[in-house]
Amino acid sequence: MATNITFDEIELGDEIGPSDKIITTEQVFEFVKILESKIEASRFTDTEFAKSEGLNGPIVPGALTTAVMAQFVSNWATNLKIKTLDVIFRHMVPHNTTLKLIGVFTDKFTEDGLNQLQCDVFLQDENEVKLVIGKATIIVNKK
Amino acid sequence: MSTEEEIKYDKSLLNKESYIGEFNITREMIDSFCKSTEETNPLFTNEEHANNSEYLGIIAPPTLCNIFMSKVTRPDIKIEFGDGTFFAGQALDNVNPIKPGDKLTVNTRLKEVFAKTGRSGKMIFEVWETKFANQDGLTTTLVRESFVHRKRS
Repeated sequence: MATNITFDEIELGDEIGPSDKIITTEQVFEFVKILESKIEASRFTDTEFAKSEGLNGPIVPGALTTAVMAQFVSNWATNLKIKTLDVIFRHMVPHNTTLKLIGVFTDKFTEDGLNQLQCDVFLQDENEVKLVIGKATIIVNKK
Repeated sequence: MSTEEEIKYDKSLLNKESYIGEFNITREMIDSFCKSTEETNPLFTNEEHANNSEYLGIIAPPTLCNIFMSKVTRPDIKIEFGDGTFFAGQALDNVNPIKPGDKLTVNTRLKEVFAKTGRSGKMIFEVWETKFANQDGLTTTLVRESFVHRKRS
């Protein structure tokens, strides 16, 4: 995690990343186990089940993908806090493949006394196909 | 764009809250969430650091509530349009922090139904808002999910 940033340091068009990320099958199982004591076969956990649904293989749950994107943005600096995160799922996210995370600051404003940034965030595959598109509003806490 | 009046669905469900259930937030749950996402932010993982923060203790990562969304069931609003429905997107608003020991009460409501016309023709959007509130009645998180109804052919 980076150190603190100040609101004034950020210019529109500044980027976060790119950062490579692999979401492993082990991570998916750990995630599914948060609520389920027993892991049932599903599109997230089982190859045959996923194929029966027309998928190439098991996919990453959307909630895990969203968590990874939020983490990528908020952990860029120690004094950032995610206020809102909107995501659009355009393609399935497979396990164990190299993904790329990229963020671009698109707006900065002060509202209710809080310094805030807007950041477009993308999760891409190795061919730079955007799998998930997000927009985060981030509060920049004072140092 | 079509007006809402032209869309045929069960309008009695609009803004009607449905109780989903209660979920207890544990430290173990937060730890597992952090482990699965490889989270290292000390606000979520380091007791000593978190105790000295504005939150005075460990808090949950901002999208933790999302794990409960798979438990949310919604009534069929009986939209008379199209032959295919897909999940279009999701928006999370973090309103107040979630801490270990919190008991979250979850309610959901049909927030809006509207039409848009794009290159592929008319689509009807069904938007649900799910509210998580803690034991003190404070809203912690709002999750809006959009579903699109369209004609396949």
